Amino acid sequence: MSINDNGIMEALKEDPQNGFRMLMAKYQENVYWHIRRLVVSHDDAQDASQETFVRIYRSFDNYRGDCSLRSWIYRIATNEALRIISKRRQEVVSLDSETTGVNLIQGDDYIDFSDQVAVKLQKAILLLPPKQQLAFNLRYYEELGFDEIAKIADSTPTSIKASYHVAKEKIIKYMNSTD
Amino acid sequence: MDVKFNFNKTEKFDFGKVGKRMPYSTPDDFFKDMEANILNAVKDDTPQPVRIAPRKRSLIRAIWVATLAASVAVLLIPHIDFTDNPIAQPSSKENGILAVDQAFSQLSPADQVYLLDVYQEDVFLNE
Repeated sequence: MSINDNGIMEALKEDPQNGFRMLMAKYQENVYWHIRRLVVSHDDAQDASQETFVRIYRSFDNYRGDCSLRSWIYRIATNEALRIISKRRQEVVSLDSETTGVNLIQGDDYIDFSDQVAVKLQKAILLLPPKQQLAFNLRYYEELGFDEIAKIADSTPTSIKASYHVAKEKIIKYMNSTD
Repeated sequence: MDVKFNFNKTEKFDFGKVGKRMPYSTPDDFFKDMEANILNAVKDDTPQPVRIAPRKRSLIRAIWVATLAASVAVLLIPHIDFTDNPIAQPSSKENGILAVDQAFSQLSPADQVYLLDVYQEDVFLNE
């Protein structure tokens, strides 16, 4: 049974702990996979996901309803992912950075290297600047609209649409390469 | 013709070949464990209740009302006979402005600031 965001909001107002459980039930996996695609490593994705939900729990009073609950959650998750990448690189990485500098897909126990096409696709995505990664991932995997992605990235729908299309072309070019 | 030309290279990659499949996996029962970890991490915290600010519908409604009032005023002015009082014969433009001013003055200070911010950038109003 899918849980409606309005139902979660009502539950959060009446009983925050129950509302939080509902929120986790709905978003836990999506948030983890969103972060995982950005940070690659399972351990980092786990840390960032847990921190995301702890922050959400402690910041309910900061949610003003000026964007959807989902956008708010993904924004926090994206920030946590970038924070953990920054920590790993020991320099600030933001959506405006040129790259996340992730050492692609290496040395993680939870990656199936036998699926070569899927590995190559993730490498192609990881070579993109963070903003393009975000636009592509949220559109392709999560099927979010450009308006909503813009809210998450604190950008404009036009800019996100452009980022998505540029990302797609770069990915196609990479996938067609013989490397 | 270049015999070494590779036709396959000109074919576009088909996303349908991969779909949403990823090479990533998680340990068994990972999500169950993560939920337990999160709940454990926040167990001593008292969550702050969600406080949703009222949406800007009231402001949008106020703008519509102000626009409507101004339009009605502009439409009615040609039919009003001002000859009884020849001194007070404001132009229709002035009347429209008066109606807008009146509607504007009825908005809250926050809404007034918001409106001014919005219309400051309006190229049609600033023509």
